[in-house]
Amino acid sequence: MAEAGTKLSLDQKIQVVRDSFDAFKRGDINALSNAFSDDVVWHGRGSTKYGGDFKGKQAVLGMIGQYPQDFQDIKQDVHDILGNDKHVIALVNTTSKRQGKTIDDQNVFVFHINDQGKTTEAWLIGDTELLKTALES
Amino acid sequence: MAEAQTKMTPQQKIEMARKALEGGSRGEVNPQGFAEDAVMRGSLVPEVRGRAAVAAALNEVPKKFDEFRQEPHAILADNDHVVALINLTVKPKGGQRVQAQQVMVVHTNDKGQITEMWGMIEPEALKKIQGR
Repeated sequence: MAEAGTKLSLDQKIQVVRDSFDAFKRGDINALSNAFSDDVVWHGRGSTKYGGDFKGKQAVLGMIGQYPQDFQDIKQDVHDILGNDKHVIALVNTTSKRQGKTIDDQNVFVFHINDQGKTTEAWLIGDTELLKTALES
Repeated sequence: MAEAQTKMTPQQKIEMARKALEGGSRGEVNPQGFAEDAVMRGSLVPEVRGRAAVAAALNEVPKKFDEFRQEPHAILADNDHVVALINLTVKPKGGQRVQAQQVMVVHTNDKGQITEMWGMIEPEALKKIQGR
């Protein structure tokens, strides 16, 4: 994971991330778009369409926008958000449904936030095998 | 993930986690670093309960591999959790070296002992480590 510095306070950075999850929950694409830098890179894991690197705001928003099309009743319980001068980490319990089956996963999101309060890089760590199985069902 | 409060400062918890990881990579986990009723859930070990069992299970992990190295990229802490982002290098016996990112989420009690630990390695990297 690359390093990135910021002049925002820790609380401000944590709030940026909290606001991003709230925007996703509301389906507020404009707010979500404002949360990312133009050159944001999202690092997904695994071999599904959510895996690999998504470079640029449009690619990232496209990937995120795909998720509610593949899964229903998505609930993200933000369990805790921690930060330091380089990273903000969100511990999130995610529940969703696909074809009537409930999928529970514990996700760890890692963010780099720039001086403008925008996410420049993000990593999502979750059970990619669970995701793969769900998408293949 | 259960809730837990602690009187240790986040910086103290970060130092504790760093030392624990150093010991873990060598198979020298100190059982006193865990609460008597500690619980561990991880990618490389099944769910384990109890101080002695957790420490023993962690000490066994490096022995399963020709190489097992955990290098913390970042350790963050607040009142409830310690989270370590770890660059993991594992060489299974007779196998190829695998590099993976590991995340460990830890709860501690007032004494700074680990009460609950959850470790995760990205599943597709885990398959390579386990030779599946």
